[in-house]
Amino acid sequence: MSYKAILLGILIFLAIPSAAAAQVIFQATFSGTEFCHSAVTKIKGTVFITFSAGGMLITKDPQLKDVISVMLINESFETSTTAGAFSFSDIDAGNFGIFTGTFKDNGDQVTGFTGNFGAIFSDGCFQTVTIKSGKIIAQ
Amino acid sequence: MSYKAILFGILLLLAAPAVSSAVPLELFYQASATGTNFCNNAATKVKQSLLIGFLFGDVAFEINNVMAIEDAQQTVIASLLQEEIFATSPPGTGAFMYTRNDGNGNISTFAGTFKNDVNTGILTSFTGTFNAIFANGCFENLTIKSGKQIVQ
Repeated sequence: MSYKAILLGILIFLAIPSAAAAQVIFQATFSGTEFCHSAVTKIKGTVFITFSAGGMLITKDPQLKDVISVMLINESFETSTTAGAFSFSDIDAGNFGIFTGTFKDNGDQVTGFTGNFGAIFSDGCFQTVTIKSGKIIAQ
Repeated sequence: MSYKAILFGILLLLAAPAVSSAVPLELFYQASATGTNFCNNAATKVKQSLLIGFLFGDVAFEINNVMAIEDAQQTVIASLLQEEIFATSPPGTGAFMYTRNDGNGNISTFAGTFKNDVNTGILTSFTGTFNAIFANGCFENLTIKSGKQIVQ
Protein backbone atom coordinates (compact mmCIF):
# COMPACT_ATOMS: atom_id res chain seq x y z
CA MET A 1 0.00 0.00 0.00
CA SER A 2 1.46 3.33 -1.00
CA TYR A 3 1.67 6.37 1.22
CA LYS A 4 -0.92 8.00 -1.04
CA ALA A 5 -3.43 5.26 -0.30
CA ILE A 6 -2.79 5.62 3.42
CA LEU A 7 -3.16 9.38 3.18
CA LEU A 8 -6.39 8.99 1.26
CA GLY A 9 -7.74 6.65 3.90
CA ILE A 10 -6.94 9.13 6.64
CA LEU A 11 -8.56 11.93 4.68
CA ILE A 12 -11.73 9.93 4.13
CA PHE A 13 -11.81 9.10 7.81
CA LEU A 14 -11.37 12.72 8.74
CA ALA A 15 -13.55 14.25 6.06
CA ILE A 16 -16.77 12.32 6.41
CA PRO A 17 -17.47 12.79 10.12
CA SER A 18 -16.48 16.45 10.07
CA ALA A 19 -18.63 17.10 7.04
CA ALA A 20 -21.58 15.42 8.61
CA ALA A 21 -21.12 17.26 11.87
CA ALA A 22 -20.50 20.84 10.91
CA GLN A 23 -19.81 21.45 7.28
CA VAL A 24 -22.00 22.78 4.53
CA ILE A 25 -23.40 20.09 2.26
CA PHE A 26 -24.48 21.15 -1.21
CA GLN A 27 -26.95 19.35 -3.36
CA ALA A 28 -25.60 19.71 -6.89
CA THR A 29 -26.64 18.74 -10.38
CA PHE A 30 -24.34 17.16 -12.90
CA SER A 31 -24.65 16.63 -16.62
CA GLY A 32 -22.20 15.28 -19.10
CA THR A 33 -20.97 12.09 -20.67
CA GLU A 34 -20.14 8.69 -19.26
CA PHE A 35 -17.92 6.29 -21.14
CA CYS A 36 -18.49 2.77 -19.90
CA HIS A 37 -18.91 -0.81 -21.15
CA SER A 38 -18.29 0.15 -24.76
CA ALA A 39 -20.97 2.80 -24.63
CA VAL A 40 -20.98 6.57 -24.57
CA THR A 41 -23.96 7.80 -22.59
CA LYS A 42 -25.30 11.21 -21.73
CA ILE A 43 -25.80 11.39 -17.99
CA LYS A 44 -27.62 13.76 -15.70
CA GLY A 45 -28.30 13.58 -12.00
CA THR A 46 -27.71 14.78 -8.48
CA VAL A 47 -24.67 14.53 -6.27
CA PHE A 48 -23.82 15.86 -2.84
CA ILE A 49 -20.70 17.85 -2.18
CA THR A 50 -18.96 19.17 0.86
CA PHE A 51 -15.70 21.02 1.30
CA SER A 52 -13.15 20.66 4.03
CA ALA A 53 -10.02 22.69 4.61
CA GLY A 54 -8.04 20.40 2.38
CA GLY A 55 -10.47 18.91 -0.03
CA MET A 56 -13.80 18.21 -1.63
CA LEU A 57 -15.98 15.18 -1.16
CA ILE A 58 -18.44 14.09 -3.88
CA THR A 59 -21.02 11.50 -2.93
CA LYS A 60 -24.20 9.99 -4.29
CA ASP A 61 -26.11 10.42 -1.06
CA PRO A 62 -26.70 13.30 1.37
CA GLN A 63 -25.33 11.16 4.20
CA LEU A 64 -21.95 11.35 2.43
CA LYS A 65 -21.45 7.59 2.59
CA ASP A 66 -21.63 6.52 -1.05
CA VAL A 67 -18.44 8.20 -2.16
CA ILE A 68 -17.74 9.04 -5.80
CA SER A 69 -14.53 10.93 -5.26
CA VAL A 70 -12.39 12.28 -2.46
CA MET A 71 -10.43 15.15 -3.88
CA LEU A 72 -7.54 17.12 -2.47
CA ILE A 73 -7.35 20.83 -3.16
CA ASN A 74 -4.61 21.90 -5.52
CA GLU A 75 -5.26 25.59 -5.84
CA SER A 76 -7.76 28.20 -4.75
CA PHE A 77 -7.71 31.91 -5.36
CA GLU A 78 -10.01 34.89 -5.20
CA THR A 79 -11.00 36.61 -8.42
CA SER A 80 -13.01 39.25 -6.53
CA THR A 81 -14.14 39.86 -2.98
CA THR A 82 -17.01 37.41 -3.41
CA ALA A 83 -15.78 34.96 -6.03
CA GLY A 84 -12.87 32.76 -6.89
CA ALA A 85 -11.61 29.69 -8.68
CA PHE A 86 -10.34 26.38 -7.39
CA SER A 87 -8.98 23.06 -8.53
CA PHE A 88 -9.00 19.63 -6.93
CA SER A 89 -7.56 16.26 -7.84
CA ASP A 90 -8.26 12.68 -6.83
CA ILE A 91 -5.25 10.49 -7.32
CA ASP A 92 -5.14 7.05 -5.83
CA ALA A 93 -4.57 3.52 -6.96
CA GLY A 94 -8.03 3.15 -8.45
CA ASN A 95 -9.39 6.54 -9.35
CA PHE A 96 -7.99 9.53 -11.14
CA GLY A 97 -9.95 12.73 -11.40
CA ILE A 98 -9.77 16.49 -11.63
CA PHE A 99 -12.28 19.17 -10.78
CA THR A 100 -11.73 22.76 -11.88
CA GLY A 101 -14.25 25.50 -11.38
CA THR A 102 -15.36 28.79 -9.96
CA PHE A 103 -17.11 29.62 -6.73
CA LYS A 104 -18.92 32.37 -4.91
CA ASP A 105 -18.33 33.01 -1.27
CA ASN A 106 -19.49 35.27 1.52
CA GLY A 107 -16.05 35.81 2.96
CA ASP A 108 -16.49 32.91 5.30
CA GLN A 109 -17.55 29.95 3.21
CA VAL A 110 -18.41 28.86 -0.30
CA THR A 111 -22.01 29.70 -1.13
CA GLY A 112 -22.13 28.28 -4.65
CA PHE A 113 -19.91 26.82 -7.32
CA THR A 114 -19.74 25.33 -10.76
CA GLY A 115 -17.05 23.37 -12.53
CA ASN A 116 -15.95 20.51 -14.66
CA PHE A 117 -15.16 17.07 -13.31
CA GLY A 118 -13.19 14.59 -15.39
CA ALA A 119 -12.41 11.21 -13.88
CA ILE A 120 -11.62 7.60 -14.57
CA PHE A 121 -12.64 4.95 -12.05
CA SER A 122 -11.21 1.61 -11.00
CA ASP A 123 -13.66 -0.29 -13.21
CA GLY A 124 -12.31 1.44 -16.32
CA CYS A 125 -15.34 3.65 -16.79
CA PHE A 126 -14.71 7.36 -17.18
CA GLN A 127 -16.74 10.52 -17.40
CA THR A 128 -16.67 14.24 -17.93
CA VAL A 129 -19.46 16.21 -16.31
CA THR A 130 -20.33 19.76 -15.45
CA ILE A 131 -21.34 20.15 -11.83
CA LYS A 132 -23.45 23.04 -10.59
CA SER A 133 -24.26 23.58 -6.97
CA GLY A 134 -27.84 23.89 -5.85
CA LYS A 135 -29.30 24.39 -2.44
CA ILE A 136 -27.47 23.84 0.80
CA ILE A 137 -29.09 20.90 2.52
CA ALA A 138 -27.12 20.83 5.76
CA GLN A 139 -24.95 23.19 7.69
CA MET B 1 23.73 -20.45 -52.06
CA SER B 2 22.28 -22.04 -48.99
CA TYR B 3 18.60 -22.42 -48.33
CA LYS B 4 19.10 -19.99 -45.44
CA ALA B 5 20.25 -17.27 -47.81
CA ILE B 6 17.26 -17.90 -50.09
CA LEU B 7 14.91 -17.82 -47.13
CA PHE B 8 16.50 -14.60 -45.92
CA GLY B 9 16.03 -13.05 -49.35
CA ILE B 10 12.39 -14.02 -49.40
CA LEU B 11 11.91 -12.59 -45.93
CA LEU B 12 13.49 -9.31 -47.00
CA LEU B 13 11.16 -9.12 -49.98
CA LEU B 14 8.17 -9.79 -47.78
CA ALA B 15 9.26 -7.39 -45.09
CA ALA B 16 10.00 -4.35 -47.22
CA PRO B 17 6.46 -3.65 -48.45
CA ALA B 18 5.10 -4.29 -45.02
CA VAL B 19 7.35 -1.63 -43.56
CA SER B 20 6.57 0.92 -46.22
CA SER B 21 2.82 0.49 -45.78
CA ALA B 22 2.94 0.47 -41.98
CA VAL B 23 1.14 3.11 -39.99
CA PRO B 24 3.37 6.13 -39.37
CA LEU B 25 4.76 5.99 -35.88
CA GLU B 26 3.53 9.39 -34.82
CA LEU B 27 0.62 11.44 -36.10
CA PHE B 28 -0.39 15.01 -35.41
CA TYR B 29 -3.69 16.81 -35.77
CA GLN B 30 -4.63 20.41 -35.75
CA ALA B 31 -7.28 21.09 -33.15
CA SER B 32 -9.35 23.92 -31.76
CA ALA B 33 -9.88 24.42 -28.06
CA THR B 34 -12.37 26.51 -26.12
CA GLY B 35 -12.79 26.78 -22.40
CA THR B 36 -11.55 28.61 -19.35
CA ASN B 37 -8.10 29.22 -17.98
CA PHE B 38 -7.73 30.04 -14.30
CA CYS B 39 -4.49 31.82 -13.52
CA ASN B 40 -3.11 34.75 -11.57
CA ASN B 41 -6.39 35.51 -9.82
CA ALA B 42 -8.31 35.60 -13.09
CA ALA B 43 -10.67 33.27 -14.91
CA THR B 44 -10.19 33.86 -18.62
CA LYS B 45 -12.13 32.47 -21.55
CA VAL B 46 -9.81 30.65 -23.90
CA LYS B 47 -10.07 29.96 -27.60
CA GLN B 48 -6.95 28.69 -29.25
CA SER B 49 -5.45 26.37 -31.81
CA LEU B 50 -3.62 23.31 -30.59
CA LEU B 51 -1.49 20.60 -32.04
CA ILE B 52 -2.34 17.11 -30.82
CA GLY B 53 0.08 14.25 -31.36
CA PHE B 54 -0.26 10.54 -30.81
CA LEU B 55 2.89 8.48 -30.39
CA PHE B 56 1.31 5.56 -32.23
CA GLY B 57 -0.72 6.76 -35.15
CA ASP B 58 -3.03 3.76 -35.30
CA VAL B 59 -4.65 5.01 -32.11
CA ALA B 60 -7.78 2.89 -32.24
CA PHE B 61 -5.69 -0.30 -32.33
CA GLU B 62 -3.29 0.62 -29.54
CA ILE B 63 -3.64 -0.49 -25.94
CA ASN B 64 -0.87 1.83 -24.84
CA ASN B 65 -0.29 5.24 -26.30
CA VAL B 66 0.86 8.75 -25.54
CA MET B 67 -1.02 11.92 -26.38
CA ALA B 68 0.86 15.20 -26.60
CA ILE B 69 -1.03 18.48 -26.43
CA GLU B 70 0.95 21.40 -27.77
CA ASP B 71 0.14 25.03 -28.35
CA ALA B 72 0.44 26.69 -31.74
CA GLN B 73 4.14 27.27 -31.12
CA GLN B 74 4.55 23.56 -30.50
CA THR B 75 5.30 24.07 -26.82
CA VAL B 76 4.09 21.02 -24.95
CA ILE B 77 1.18 21.78 -22.63
CA ALA B 78 0.76 18.21 -21.46
CA SER B 79 1.87 14.73 -22.37
CA LEU B 80 -0.65 12.13 -21.27
CA LEU B 81 -0.71 8.36 -21.09
CA GLN B 82 -3.64 6.35 -22.37
CA GLU B 83 -5.68 4.91 -19.53
CA GLU B 84 -8.57 3.37 -21.39
CA ILE B 85 -9.83 2.89 -24.90
CA PHE B 86 -12.76 0.98 -26.33
CA ALA B 87 -14.69 0.68 -29.54
CA THR B 88 -18.29 1.74 -29.70
CA SER B 89 -21.00 1.17 -32.22
CA PRO B 90 -21.03 1.64 -35.20
CA PRO B 91 -17.63 0.26 -36.23
CA GLY B 92 -15.02 2.95 -36.61
CA THR B 93 -16.01 4.84 -33.48
CA GLY B 94 -14.76 4.70 -29.93
CA ALA B 95 -13.90 6.46 -26.72
CA PHE B 96 -10.64 6.99 -24.91
CA MET B 97 -9.20 8.46 -21.76
CA TYR B 98 -5.73 9.85 -21.16
CA THR B 99 -4.24 11.02 -17.87
CA ARG B 100 -1.08 12.54 -16.55
CA ASN B 101 0.43 12.95 -13.12
CA ASP B 102 4.11 13.79 -13.22
CA GLY B 103 4.44 13.99 -9.44
CA ASN B 104 5.47 17.62 -9.64
CA GLY B 105 2.03 19.18 -9.59
CA ASN B 106 1.13 18.72 -13.23
CA ILE B 107 -2.08 16.69 -13.33
CA SER B 108 -4.42 16.36 -16.29
CA THR B 109 -7.12 14.27 -17.89
CA PHE B 110 -8.53 14.04 -21.38
CA ALA B 111 -11.68 12.04 -22.09
CA GLY B 112 -13.38 11.94 -25.43
CA THR B 113 -14.73 10.12 -28.42
CA PHE B 114 -13.20 9.44 -31.80
CA LYS B 115 -13.82 8.17 -35.28
CA ASN B 116 -11.24 6.00 -36.95
CA ASP B 117 -10.42 4.22 -40.17
CA VAL B 118 -11.61 0.66 -39.56
CA ASN B 119 -8.71 -0.80 -41.52
CA THR B 120 -5.78 1.18 -40.16
CA GLY B 121 -6.98 2.40 -36.77
CA ILE B 122 -5.91 5.93 -37.65
CA LEU B 123 -8.17 8.58 -36.21
CA THR B 124 -10.17 10.62 -38.65
CA SER B 125 -11.52 12.91 -35.93
CA PHE B 126 -11.88 13.18 -32.19
CA THR B 127 -13.33 15.47 -29.56
CA GLY B 128 -13.10 15.58 -25.81
CA THR B 129 -12.60 17.49 -22.59
CA PHE B 130 -9.19 18.36 -21.22
CA ASN B 131 -8.82 19.22 -17.55
CA ALA B 132 -5.43 20.29 -16.34
CA ILE B 133 -3.76 21.54 -13.20
CA PHE B 134 -0.27 22.89 -13.63
CA ALA B 135 2.63 23.09 -11.23
CA ASN B 136 2.53 26.90 -11.28
CA GLY B 137 -0.96 26.83 -9.75
CA CYS B 138 -2.81 27.68 -12.94
CA PHE B 139 -5.51 25.32 -14.18
CA GLU B 140 -7.90 25.07 -17.10
CA ASN B 141 -10.60 23.07 -18.76
CA LEU B 142 -10.91 22.95 -22.51
CA THR B 143 -13.16 21.32 -25.04
CA ILE B 144 -10.93 20.09 -27.83
CA LYS B 145 -12.07 19.31 -31.35
CA SER B 146 -9.71 17.86 -33.89
CA GLY B 147 -9.12 19.37 -37.27
CA LYS B 148 -7.11 17.98 -40.12
CA GLN B 149 -4.29 15.52 -39.74
CA ILE B 150 -0.88 17.04 -40.27
CA VAL B 151 1.78 15.26 -42.24
CA GLN B 152 5.17 15.90 -40.66
